[in-house]
Amino acid sequence: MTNFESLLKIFKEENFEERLRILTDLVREMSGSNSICLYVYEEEHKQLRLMVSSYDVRQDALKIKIDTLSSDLSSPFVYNGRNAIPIKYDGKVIGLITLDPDKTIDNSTNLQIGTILKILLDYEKSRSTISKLTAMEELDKEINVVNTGLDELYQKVLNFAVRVLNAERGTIWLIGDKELVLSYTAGISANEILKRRIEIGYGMIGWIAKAKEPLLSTSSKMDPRATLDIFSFAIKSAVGVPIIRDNELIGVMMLMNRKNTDFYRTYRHFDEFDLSLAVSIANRLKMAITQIELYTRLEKENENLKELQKQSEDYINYQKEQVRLLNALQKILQALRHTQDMRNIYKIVLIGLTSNSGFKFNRALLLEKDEEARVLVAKEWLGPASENEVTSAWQSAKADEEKYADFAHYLQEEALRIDLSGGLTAYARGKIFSYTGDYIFDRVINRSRIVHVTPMLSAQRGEEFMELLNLLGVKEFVCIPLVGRRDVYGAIILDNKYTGTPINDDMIDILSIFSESVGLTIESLKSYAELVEKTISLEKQRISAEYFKDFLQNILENLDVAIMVVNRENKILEWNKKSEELFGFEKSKMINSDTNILGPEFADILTVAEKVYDAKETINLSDYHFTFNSKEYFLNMTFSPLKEQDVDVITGYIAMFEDITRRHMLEIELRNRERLAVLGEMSAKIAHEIRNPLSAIGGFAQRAKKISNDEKLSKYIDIILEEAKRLEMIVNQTLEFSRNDRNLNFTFSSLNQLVQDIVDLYFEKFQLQGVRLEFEKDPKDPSLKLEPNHFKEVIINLVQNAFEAMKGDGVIKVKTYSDDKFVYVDVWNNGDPIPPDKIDVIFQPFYTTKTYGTGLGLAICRKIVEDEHYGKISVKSDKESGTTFTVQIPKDIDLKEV
Amino acid sequence: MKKEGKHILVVEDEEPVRMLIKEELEDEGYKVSAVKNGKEALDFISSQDVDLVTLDIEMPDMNGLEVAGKIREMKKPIKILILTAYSHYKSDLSSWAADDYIVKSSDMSEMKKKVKELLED
Repeated sequence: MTNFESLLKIFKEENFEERLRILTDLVREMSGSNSICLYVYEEEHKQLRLMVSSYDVRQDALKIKIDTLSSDLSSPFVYNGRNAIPIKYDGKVIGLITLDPDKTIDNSTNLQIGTILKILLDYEKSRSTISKLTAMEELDKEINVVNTGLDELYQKVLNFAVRVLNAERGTIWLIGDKELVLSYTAGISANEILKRRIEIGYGMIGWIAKAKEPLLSTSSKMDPRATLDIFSFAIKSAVGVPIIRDNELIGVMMLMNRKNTDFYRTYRHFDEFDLSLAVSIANRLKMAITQIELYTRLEKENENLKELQKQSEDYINYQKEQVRLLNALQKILQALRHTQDMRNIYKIVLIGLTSNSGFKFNRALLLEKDEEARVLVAKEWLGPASENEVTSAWQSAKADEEKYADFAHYLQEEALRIDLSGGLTAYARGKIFSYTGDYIFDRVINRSRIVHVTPMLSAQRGEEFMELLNLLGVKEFVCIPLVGRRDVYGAIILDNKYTGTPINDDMIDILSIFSESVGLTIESLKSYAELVEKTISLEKQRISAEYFKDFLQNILENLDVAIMVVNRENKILEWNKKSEELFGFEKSKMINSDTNILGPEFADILTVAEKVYDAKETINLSDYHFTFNSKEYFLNMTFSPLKEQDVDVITGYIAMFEDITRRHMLEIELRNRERLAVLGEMSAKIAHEIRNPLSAIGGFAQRAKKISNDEKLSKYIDIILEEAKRLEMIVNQTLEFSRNDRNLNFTFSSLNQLVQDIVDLYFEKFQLQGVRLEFEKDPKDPSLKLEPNHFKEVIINLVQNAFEAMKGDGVIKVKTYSDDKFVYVDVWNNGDPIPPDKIDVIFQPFYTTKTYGTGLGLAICRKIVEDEHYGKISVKSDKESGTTFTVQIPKDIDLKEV
Repeated sequence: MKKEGKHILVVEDEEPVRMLIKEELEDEGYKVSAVKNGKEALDFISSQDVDLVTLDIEMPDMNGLEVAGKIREMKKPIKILILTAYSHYKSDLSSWAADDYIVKSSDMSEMKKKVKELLED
């Protein structure tokens, strides 16, 4: 064989060891040695590794440490009885050949061998590099990072490592909580695993984790780092690498027991190449992990971003909707501001809540608060009445809305146009809900809270507001109060019966603004209306107060009682017309003057008046005899405390003076007359009683004289007769006197005045008995010639008779009237009528129905009226019209007899 | 002038006066009866013919005016002369039942004159 053929043969071989063997065979041939060994020099280990041997070599001679040799390898030496020839290349030792002791190779052959060996070694190195690169490429292809999850990655990489490194078994352990957890296996069955968790530092795997260094264990049995208790199979050799990412240990990959492949001699174990491959694989793994994690993170970030973006969008939409709702609210308030009518206000609110441009609720129910009854009354309900109506209702509503550019404008117009009395309102109208103690309405009305009833709440506590639920027919609704500053005016219930749209918290927030804004608007409108009403009422009051004031002033002025009002500072506040007349002071001088302007004569009166401040009640002085300006008065005085309305403070007094001077005089006169009359009566009665006996005495004395013969007797009888006559004269005179007939004094008198005197006389007396004496004066106030005393006597008589006919309460009316010829006085009473048969008889003397009196009254009246005044006295009496005595007297009396 | 046959009835509750009047009138030649009260007077009149009655007003039970009224109701042609203590009821006579009146006095002459006048026509 030529050299070229030999070379070809070497390179034809696939395997490094085979190539070396061919080389070795060639060398053996050439040298003629029987046996040969070829060692390769490993620089890093300073050892010669036996690659090829024609005979069995002891295990421990597989490697020769340089420093155990006696030679420096510059030239051949003897090793274990054999000829050891160093193979050099470029002056460096790259191998060793051992031959039989007597065989050798020459230098040029040595050089050739050296060159070939070098080439083979380099080739092998390149091949290994290439195969590593190829393997890495393969690995890269295997791991399709984009579509691979971490889990898948680990397993794929492990599988690959195991295959490429020809390991029997492979494991990946991952760090978990300060220990290594067996996470992935290849070529290991579950029952071979003894431990799945190991401490860092424990065994080879633990060592790698601790040291963070790759490990190559070629004889694990001997390796002090190895432990036997992790797996049940024997570990002969192992290669392990840490998986480190960012200086942090993620885990450990450990491959165990290189497979027997193409060995012809010894068991092969893992070598440096395997280790470096494993390291590269680990690197790749690390990168892949990083990438995956990066991708995952990126994806997450991306999703986060998407989520954020969506949230952002959602938020923007939410904000948009909030703004829209706020705008809608603004428009509603604007529309409200232009409305005065309460009913329209409510309509605007309801429309705004249900409108598509507004709050978009399906239905809105308005309840008004009735303060007195303490209930809520359902007033109006806006919304489609049933499912059927929904589409058409909303379409037409939408169409209407679109006609208007301005929502507020739409609301105002729609409120005017819309009629809520039918449809939905009919179901609710008039329904009453108490708001005290009611689950929902108590919160809404008494605590001004919005109550959101959710389906869950309806289910749990629906019984507490069953009636409302039945009315509404929905499971979710919200009830808002219409609350102003001072009060809650009602409530609105909103729901989405037809669309089922849930009511969310943001809507509730806006509704709370709504509830207050609308409440305040209602309140201010109500206040305004109240204000207008109050103003009108005040104006009315003012007018009526003015009228009343004038009226009172009028009364004050025209009262027949003198009135003076004085304040605590003794200033005169009031002085009426009668006061002017009575005391002679003019009003203008008196008002605001001090009371001492009245003069010293008033001093006592004022002292009494001021007692009112202490007494705190009215003081009366009757029949007070008062001399003023040389005039004598008789006054009834009343002093009343002046109080401000509703306040218990006395600010002055009211003094009232009733001038009873004339009446007093009249009363005195009357008393005199009565006395006289009694006297007269008595005299008359006595005289009367005397008369008969006197007649008898005189009469019989005369008869005695006639039959008397005796002169002396006659004389005596004469004396008796004379005395008797004297007595008779006295009797006559007495009787005449008592009749007052001598005082016949005709004067021109005012009819009204004379009658008035009598009325004055009897007014109070009668009043005390419950009889009202009225006098209707003839406005013409006629005056005529009358005998005033006698005329008065007639009136007195008639009035007294009328009084006695009353027998209790009643009225006596006296009326004067006149025509051209006559004056008339009527005295009317409504007592029992005079029986018709007695009508004529009553004027007869001594006719009386009384147990007292002479019965001469009416007879005398008749005499006075008919005889003295040439008049007529008559009477009309029946049950219906009462009893009227009429005195008729001619105006023009010629005193001469007609 | 026929005084005879004229029957006068005196009605007076007080006895002395009654006696006086009776005697005075009897002096004039009349037939005079006397009773002391209105009831007796009416009984008397209804049973006997009387031409003139003198009546005192002041009497217990029935007063003179009432008697006069009742006498008139009887529709007998009897003259009535009222004797009164009061001097001022002249004009009232016109509506009374009485024909005339005199004031009581010790002087009987006025009465006698009136009686004569009344019985003459």
